[in-house]
Amino acid sequence: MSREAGEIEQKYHIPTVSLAGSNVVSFGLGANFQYNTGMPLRFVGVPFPFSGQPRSVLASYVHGKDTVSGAPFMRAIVDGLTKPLSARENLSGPSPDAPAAEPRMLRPDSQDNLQDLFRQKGWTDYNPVILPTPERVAAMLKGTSHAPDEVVKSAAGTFGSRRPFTVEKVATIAVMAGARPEYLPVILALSTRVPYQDSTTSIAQMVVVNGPIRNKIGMNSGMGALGPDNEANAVIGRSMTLIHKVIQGYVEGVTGFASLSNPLRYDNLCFAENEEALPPGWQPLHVQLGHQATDSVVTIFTGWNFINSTGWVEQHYAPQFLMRDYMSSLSGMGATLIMDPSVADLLSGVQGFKTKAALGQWLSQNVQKTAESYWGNSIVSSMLAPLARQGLKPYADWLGVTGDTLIKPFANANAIHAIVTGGKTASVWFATDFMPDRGTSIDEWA
Amino acid sequence: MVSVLNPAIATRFADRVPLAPRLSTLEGKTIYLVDTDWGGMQQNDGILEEIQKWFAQNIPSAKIIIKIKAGNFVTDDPGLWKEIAGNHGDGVVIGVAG
Repeated sequence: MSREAGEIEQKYHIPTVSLAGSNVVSFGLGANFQYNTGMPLRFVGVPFPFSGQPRSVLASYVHGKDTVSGAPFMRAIVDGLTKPLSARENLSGPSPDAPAAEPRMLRPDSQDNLQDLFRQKGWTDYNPVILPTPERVAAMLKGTSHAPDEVVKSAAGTFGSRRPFTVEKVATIAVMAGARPEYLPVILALSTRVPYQDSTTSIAQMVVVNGPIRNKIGMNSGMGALGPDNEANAVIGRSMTLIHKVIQGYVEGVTGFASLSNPLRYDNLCFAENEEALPPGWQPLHVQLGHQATDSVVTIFTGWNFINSTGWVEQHYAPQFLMRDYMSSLSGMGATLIMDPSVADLLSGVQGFKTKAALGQWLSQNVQKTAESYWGNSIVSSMLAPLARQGLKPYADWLGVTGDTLIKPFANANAIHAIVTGGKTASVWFATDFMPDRGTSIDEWA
Repeated sequence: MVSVLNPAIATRFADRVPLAPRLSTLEGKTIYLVDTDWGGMQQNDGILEEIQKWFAQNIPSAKIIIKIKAGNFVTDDPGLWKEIAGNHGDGVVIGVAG
C-alpha cells in the first residue's frame, strides 16, 4: 500500500493518508520508509484485528483512537490531509541517516566472543556457526568459477530494497552454515531468489534440487529424504535460512511480521527428487518447468500446508482418492504432492496415470469443496475475489452461487505438481499447497 | 584471536522523497477513499463507509467518493490514480493494510 500512496503523492501531488492495522504499521513507518519508499508517509492506524470484525466494531475504530498518534481517529485523518509538512517531510535527496558502512573484515577476537557477536547480530539460526575465516572462505570460493567481488544481486532486501551482495558474501554464509565447496553453486543459485516471500501468515519455502548435481554432492532423494539425516540437504537448507536473515535482512518485528511463522522454515524442506525412481513417462520437476534433463536446477516453492498421508496406501482405497480428500482442505491456488516412489508406481502402473500431468488433471476434476469454504480462506479471498468481481472466470461464477454449492477449486490442472522422493520403505506421501518458481540454473554458478 | 569476514550487507537507505503539499481545509474538497481490497471480501468496506458517514456528519461540504482498486491488493492501479487526478481529487485516504 505504501507503493500506491507514494505514487499518488509523488506523481499526482495529491495528499494521501494510509490506513493500516496496528500489526504492520511499524513496517510502513520504519523499514519500508528507510529502505524502500524514502517517503515519510502519513499513516493512521486501526486496532488489529479488523478483518472478520462486525460492523459495530469497525464503527468503534473510526470513532476511537488512531493507534499511531493516539489522537482521535478522524482527527488524525483530517490532520494527515491538512497539517502543513514538517522539515522532515519536505526532505529530498540522499537520506541524512545513512547506515554505517560495513567493513570486509571484523575486528579479530576470540572464537567465543565472535560466536556471541554473530548471535547478537542475528547472523545465526541460534546454532553455532562455522566462523568464516579468510582461509575457509577462500576454500569455499573454489566451488565456483565466479569472481568473489561479482555482485549477485542488488535488490535483495524485503520488497526489493537495496542490499547488494557479492559472491564472497554468499561464500561467507556458506562457510557459516557448514557447507562444502561443492555445495556453493546450489547456494549461489538459491541466493539469486532473494527476497524470499514473507507474510504475516505462516508462509514457508521448500527447496527442491534436480539434475546431475544431486548425486554429485550427495543429496538425499532416497530413504529419509525429508528428514535431517543428510549433510547436503541439511546444510543447503540451513544456508537458505542464513541468506534470508543476513542477506535479505529479515528480522521478525522489523522487516517481517509473521504472527505464528512456520516450523517448516527451520530447514526450508530441502531435498532432491528421486529422478531414477520415476515411473516411465513421469518427467522430473525441472524438465516440466522447461529445463533440460541434464541441467542442474534448484526450484523454490512457496506455500503454507504440509499434510501427511499418515499411513501407507490401502488396497481398497486408491491413493488418488485420499489425495483428493486431503486436498479439499487446501486453497485451490496450487498444490504439490510429494510421494514415495512406491506411490508413484501404484499411480502409474495400477491406476493408469502415465504422466504427472494426468494425475494433476484428475485431481483438478475431482477435488471439491463448498463455495463458502473456498472464499472463507483469506488468501483466496484477497487474491481472487477482486478478480472475480471484475468478471474473471471461473472465479466470477463461484461468487454468485450459494455457499453450499460444491466447486472444483483447482481450476488450473497445471498448478498441481508431483515430486517423487523417498526410499520405498512405505507407500506414503504428502499433500501440500506449495507452488514452485520457474527453477534456477545451478550450472551457471558452477 | 581469530580474523573473520563480515557477513553483514552494506545497506543503503532510500533517497528521501517529499510528501505532496497539504490542503488548507477539507471544506468543499473531493476526497477519495480507496479500498485496496486487502484481506478479501468486505474487509475494508465497513471502515471506509464509516469514514464516509463521519464526513457527512462533520464536514458535509466535502465530497467523499469510495473507489475499489482494480486487480487485487498486490497489483497497482495506475488508471485509478489518473482518474482521481483527472477528476480533481483533492485528497486520498487509502487502506486498509494489515
